[in-house]
Amino acid sequence: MTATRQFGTFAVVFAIVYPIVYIAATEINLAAFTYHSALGQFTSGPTKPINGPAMYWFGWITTSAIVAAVIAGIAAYLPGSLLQKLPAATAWVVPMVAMVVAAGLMINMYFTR
Amino acid sequence: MEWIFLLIVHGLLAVALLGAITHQAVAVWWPVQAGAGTFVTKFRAVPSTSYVTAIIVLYVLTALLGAFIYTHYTISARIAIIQLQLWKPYGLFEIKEHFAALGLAILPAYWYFWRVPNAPGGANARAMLTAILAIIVWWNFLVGHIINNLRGFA
Repeated sequence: MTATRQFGTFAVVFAIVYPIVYIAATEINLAAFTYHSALGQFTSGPTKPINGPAMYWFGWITTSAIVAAVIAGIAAYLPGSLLQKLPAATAWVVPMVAMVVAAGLMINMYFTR
Repeated sequence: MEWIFLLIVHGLLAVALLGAITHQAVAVWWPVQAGAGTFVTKFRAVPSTSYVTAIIVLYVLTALLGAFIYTHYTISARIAIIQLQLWKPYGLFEIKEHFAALGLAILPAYWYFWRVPNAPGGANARAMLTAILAIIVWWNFLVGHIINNLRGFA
């Protein structure tokens, strides 16, 4: 039962933190690494393109997953039931808002040219 | 040639995922009140919980394969789309990319609220998380088709 409650806390906090970090990572380029697809090479952190496109997407996901997993992991082991204080709705409201923000940014960038 | 094969497998996985998540979303948002009869009623009457693990596995597999194909897309189809200045399809694909990544965020919560049905606020969270996943999967499926139609299997 404790393990289930801990996983519930982890899951809800992960669903809150990951989208926030992801949007921040895309906006200020917090990629954990860069993949240079034309060369098939990885470089650590966000680096400029080398002889072809630089892919930051994998790095953004990695940054978001690591930060969210660490924070959610800590939250899961905090004394008391954080899950009872956190509304379950935050697990879907935050990701949904992040989707709207991401779509809005892309529409602004590519549909108004 | 191997990229075409991988793209077809990616598409087939996406079809399976699309079917599973649509079944589940319809069953959650439009549940059957009486006994199953017509095709539509039977479609709505699936045991939703049994789909959870399959949907998570299919989502992760489809995303992983899509991510691998994405490395080739950036040095092939994407270049042509930029040269042709097809900014709206390009933007649609960028949204697909972000939606796929954001979908990963909700998978643990999606699993939790389906597996622990009596969790506080669980019914609402379960329905909304399923709807969000369904929106992501439908968007990504349709945009993937649009991009593929633009550049074929290039």
